[in-house]
Amino acid sequence: MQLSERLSKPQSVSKAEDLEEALESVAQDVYRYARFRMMNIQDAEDATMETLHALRRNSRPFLEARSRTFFAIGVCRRKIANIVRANRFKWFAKRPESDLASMTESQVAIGQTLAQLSPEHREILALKYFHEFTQDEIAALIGRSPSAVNSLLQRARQAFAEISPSREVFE
Amino acid sequence: MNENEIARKINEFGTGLPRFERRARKPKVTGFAIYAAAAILVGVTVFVSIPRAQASGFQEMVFALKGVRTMEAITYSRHSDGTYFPIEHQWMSGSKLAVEAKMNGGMHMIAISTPTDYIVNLMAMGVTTREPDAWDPFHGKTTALDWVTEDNDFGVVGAERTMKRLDSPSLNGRKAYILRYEKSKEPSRTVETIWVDSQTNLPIRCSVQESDHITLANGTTQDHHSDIYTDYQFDLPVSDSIFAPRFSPVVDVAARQTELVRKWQAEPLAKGRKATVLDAQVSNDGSLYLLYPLGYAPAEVKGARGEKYVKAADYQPGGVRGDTKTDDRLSEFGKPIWGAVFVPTKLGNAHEQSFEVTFRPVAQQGWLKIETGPGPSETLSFSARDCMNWPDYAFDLVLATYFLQVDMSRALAQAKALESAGDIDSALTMYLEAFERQKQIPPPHEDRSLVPAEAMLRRVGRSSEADALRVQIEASRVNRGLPK
Repeated sequence: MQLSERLSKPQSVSKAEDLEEALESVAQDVYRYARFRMMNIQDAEDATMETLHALRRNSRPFLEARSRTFFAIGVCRRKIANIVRANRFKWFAKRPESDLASMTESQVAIGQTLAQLSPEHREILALKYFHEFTQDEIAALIGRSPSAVNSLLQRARQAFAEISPSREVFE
Repeated sequence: MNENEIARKINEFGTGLPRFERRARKPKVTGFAIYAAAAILVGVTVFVSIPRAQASGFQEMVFALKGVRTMEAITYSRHSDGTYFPIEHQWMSGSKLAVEAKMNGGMHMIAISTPTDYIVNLMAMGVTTREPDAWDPFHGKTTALDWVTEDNDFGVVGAERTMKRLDSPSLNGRKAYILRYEKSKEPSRTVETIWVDSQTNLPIRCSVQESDHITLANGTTQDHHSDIYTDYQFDLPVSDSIFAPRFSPVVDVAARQTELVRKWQAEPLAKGRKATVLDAQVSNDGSLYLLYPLGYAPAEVKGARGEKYVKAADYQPGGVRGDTKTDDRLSEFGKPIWGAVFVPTKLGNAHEQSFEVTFRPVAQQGWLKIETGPGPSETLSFSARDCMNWPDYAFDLVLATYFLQVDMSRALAQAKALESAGDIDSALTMYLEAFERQKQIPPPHEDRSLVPAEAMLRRVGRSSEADALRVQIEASRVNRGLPK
């Protein structure tokens, strides 16, 4: 509920429907990105909801973005930063989550490995291997040079491999 | 472990995550106790697109805001006569936040977020609603400063803008510097300016000027121009009475919604093989408000005496945003509950009380809009209860502020139906009525009602009346800073 004139900006019906469809189309990607970053359901859902609200309130740049998923994940990045700053970060490994029940043992093990990585390592692994952004896109998204992204990615892979239990443990 | 193996594992984990389901959330008031955008502004400083010198200006303001304990902010908007008038008043104290919005008669309200409750005082209606564990979808981010920070969040992913730090003459007797953003992408343009106290580094004023040009669903275009600014004061005493309910008895939204769902489950008003009517009420101007579970939606409405009706609007409990727990509570019914309001196509007849409504399968569900499609239909007959202007569940289902918009839509739908039927005088009456009702909803645009009224009058050769409307439309546009 918000009554300022800015929010009451008249919105065409078709545009409003386009917006809802566009939001639906990115919601799952945004949530998964948030889960990689936050490793905590509540925080990831908060970040996702705040991202969707931000996109709804200021829809034009989102709807006009070359890649809406890229744009939405970029906004989500800021929302996550706010939540992290509010000291509400919880480690995946320390807090049993209800959705673990729906995961396989292997997925839980990977999650526990990811939880031991630094947030920036988790983020770059997710952006590269789950969301499949290019190195240049990742560079633009996180505000670093492509070569810095490359270095970070190498370190993230190395850290993941070192922490990850051997395949035999969970396969 | 090679790269492919890592990629496979990351994918395995990502695809194993559950799907995101939208949900209601608790207020995070404590999480942003130092409201005033402090937490958000921290984020501003790390934007890659902000030059270092300008970023340091933000950084200083952020640190200053961190020490703030209370805030009072008043937001002003440019009125159609060119003057600025207050539209919002905010108070923050500890974990409580109150926002008073005052546009016109209907839109005067005070929304209060506390760690346990979300309270809304609907001032013009003399009603207070309370919702436990509700989440204020805006987190109180309603001042011009918040829009600036939000836009900054967008900047990181490519929303174009430039930013400058400028010297400024004193503002409100305080020495200040200016942080100014400009973004321009045809046909829209936005200028955002923050005046920062040079001594305390706290914001004094923030303004947002925006021009836009949008295309409506019917193919017409409409200019949008908004010009708002917010003045801030920090660490002044804030009275506890600001955060209290104003009217009694307070409508307990959660209890009422649970009660209504049980009643509809036990005794729907009409039930066929596929379609169901949960509730039907006729307002004092003859509008029919129908409530039904989604699946089959009302497509055609006929009064028992033969009066024809047209749909004016769809609505969903929870209002425009729908982010309270209303959806969760009503989901106990089994299917999402929607509403539709139909208006008679003639003026002045005695109101119908009994109806025949044909339901059809829902073909498309949009943003507050339902479209029915082909498929087997079902017709239900029932009698509706009387109500005043709105159905009696308006406050229980968090629909009051949305129904202000529906009021305008009702008049507009009726005007169009009357125009189609050739009743020009009645249509003109309802176009003008729609314009009056539009004034309850900010901002009061003339495009949706006066412009089609002018076109109708020209079509039927009533040029002098059309000219008079054109003068009114142009005066309104000029006063709002728009081209004629």
